[in-house]
Amino acid sequence: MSAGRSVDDGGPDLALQLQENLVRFVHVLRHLGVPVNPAETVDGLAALELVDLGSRGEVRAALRATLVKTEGHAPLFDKAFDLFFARPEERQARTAERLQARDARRARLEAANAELAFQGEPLELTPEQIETYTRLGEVQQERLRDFLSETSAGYGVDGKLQALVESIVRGYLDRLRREMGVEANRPHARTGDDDLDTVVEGTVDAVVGSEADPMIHRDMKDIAEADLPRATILIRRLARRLATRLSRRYRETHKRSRPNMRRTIRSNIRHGGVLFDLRYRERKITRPKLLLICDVSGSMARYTAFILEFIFGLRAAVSGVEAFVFSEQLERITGLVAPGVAARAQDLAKLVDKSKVWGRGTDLGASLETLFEKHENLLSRDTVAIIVSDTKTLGADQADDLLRKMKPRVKEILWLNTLPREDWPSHRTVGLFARHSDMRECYTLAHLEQVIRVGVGRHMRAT
Amino acid sequence: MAAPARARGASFLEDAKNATTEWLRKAFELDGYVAGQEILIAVYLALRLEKPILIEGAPGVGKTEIAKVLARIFGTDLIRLQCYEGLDESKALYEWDYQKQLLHIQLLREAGCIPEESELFSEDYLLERPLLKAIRAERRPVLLIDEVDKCDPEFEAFLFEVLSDFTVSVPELGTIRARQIPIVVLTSNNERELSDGLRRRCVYLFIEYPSVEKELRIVRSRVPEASDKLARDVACVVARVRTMDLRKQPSIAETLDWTRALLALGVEKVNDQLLAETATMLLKNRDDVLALREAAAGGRWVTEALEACEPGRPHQAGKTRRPPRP
Repeated sequence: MSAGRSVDDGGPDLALQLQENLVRFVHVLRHLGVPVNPAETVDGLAALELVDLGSRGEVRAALRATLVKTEGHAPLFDKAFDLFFARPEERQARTAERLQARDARRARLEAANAELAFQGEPLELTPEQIETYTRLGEVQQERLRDFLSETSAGYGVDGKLQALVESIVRGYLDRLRREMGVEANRPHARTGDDDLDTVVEGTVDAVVGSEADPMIHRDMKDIAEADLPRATILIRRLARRLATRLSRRYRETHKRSRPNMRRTIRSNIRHGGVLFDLRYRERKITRPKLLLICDVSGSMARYTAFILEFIFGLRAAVSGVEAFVFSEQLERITGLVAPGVAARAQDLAKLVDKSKVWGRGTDLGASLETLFEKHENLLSRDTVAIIVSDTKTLGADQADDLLRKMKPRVKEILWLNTLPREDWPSHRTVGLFARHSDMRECYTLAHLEQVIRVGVGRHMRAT
Repeated sequence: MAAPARARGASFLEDAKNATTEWLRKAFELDGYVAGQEILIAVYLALRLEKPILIEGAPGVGKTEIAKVLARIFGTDLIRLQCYEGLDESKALYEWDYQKQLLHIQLLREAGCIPEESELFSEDYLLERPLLKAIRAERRPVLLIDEVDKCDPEFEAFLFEVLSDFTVSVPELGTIRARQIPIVVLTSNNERELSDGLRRRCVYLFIEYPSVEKELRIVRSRVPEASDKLARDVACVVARVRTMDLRKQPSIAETLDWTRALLALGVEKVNDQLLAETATMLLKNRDDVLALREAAAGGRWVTEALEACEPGRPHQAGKTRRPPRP
């Protein structure tokens, strides 16, 4: 740009400052979960040297073209750019505001921690647990304080019991925290620099929950009622995208390696037997059948509705879907979803509501027993069984036996587990069922897409 | 489409690296392609940094057109490699002309000679495919690798290798190095995640559906015979159609088709009945057409679209829901 300021005009200081700023900005992007590698940073710098630094639009476009390579990250980039490349006064004001808020929070937490004491000793709690406490209602707070003061004053109670009391309080607060749904599901860690932290947090605050929020990474049970239409549209898009991908005709890639001699000779008889026109083998496409077994006990209902919606969106790519729901018993719902009718998450949720088995305790063992008794004909070698469940069930050992029996009868058992992976080790049933199935973590739409793409996609390629 | 910029191209080709954003803006404009700053800067950086440009966006927003425009404004060849599943090196890079070799052998044999191997594997029998063509081109060509998301991951890895050093080795002929680095344009509909490596090498551009204002400029530039009123109606109505939950949103190409259809019908003003009758020009899916007809059945849909239409504001897709089907 002839008219623009170039880096060289400002001498080495400006160039250095530019470099430093860019590196800091890249640092912010990385903390927001936008992967930017050093090569791209170098590109970004080269790009800045080519555009007019006086034009905000040009700088933004240049950095966006070189640093952000996935459309989903664009909202994060835009917001971070606005906050980072703001006027110095604005930035300072924001940082000061944030520090103030942080101090206030710290003071609040310290005060709260002082209230939660056992025999005068503050309990050892994480900041999240204390924060949960500060969010409780007055009555609940008081109940907790009463519990502590009563146990502290109990006969023969000494400091040794503190660990026990602590673990009770921790468990209680953790449970409340989950119920309140304040799971701060934020991917970033602190950068250690107040200025940068302000930008990171400001960006996250602005983007999370907004239209631009990639809902695809949110826990499905946290998707609010009001967002359901948007989620449904998103699911249908994902499913459609996947279905077109899966159902595209698949041809042998390394076809050079597999000539079809019979067809080659036949078609070359007219050339006097000279092998003039070579013919090659092509692969056949097989479409798997899906056998869906969804857990609809209380907490699972929301997940099930989304997963059903997604699977029905895939109907174009598979040769048939058989669907069952279970809690204490198994119920077949294939017939309830008429073919050709586009199923919606809400309708499916209603369907699940109507189901006789909805919302009870879970008994996978008994349910699988029923499957074997009444629907054994559905088990075949070209069927992929998909079980959607958090594995919390009665009759675990019976289920274990039946899964072992089922495994060789179907092509594969794919288990979509709605528990986060880090919780898996604390549930015995996870390990038990994972022996017989390909178990995947699946509590966001992104997981769902990934699992189905890899899991079902793999079976599309069988010869 | 006419190519008004073609004449001015050749003299600028040597300077492709020196093109400024201003020059690009004018050249794109002369060529009839309405490009915003995002597009211009990304293209400019790709030219200056000599990197491939990866363009993503919904079908029909003008991804492929950018490559065509570049070829026209620099007055150079457009070499196109259309990707599909099963595309392999022999279709993309080079292949020996088996039939021709066979004929040659037959002829020599009938003449009583023994063919020499070096003779059979000479340039005469080499079938150049797009990648090799681009590498051996005399002048810096535009290499368009279309719908790169449709090829297999293995081919993508191969492509990645070719794009990083523009060197190809043909065992029988030796290593061929590109005379100059072609202007490479990759497009993707995002059907499959591309590898990080490929993304990393490229300048990235995402083209969104245009704002009402931009679409209006496109309609005016490409269908100049349409009146201002009609062009504005079209842009506003299409913008509202894009907010519906459809299988396939109308693309710019379809907007232009629809405008031409309206012109052919001698219409000056859009109304609901007309929209319902010509919906098939905009939407290419039965369910979508039915949904639009149903929406327009009330008789106020177009009016509302025109009222709500504020030029300059980008339209957010997916905000309104498709009305429930009976």
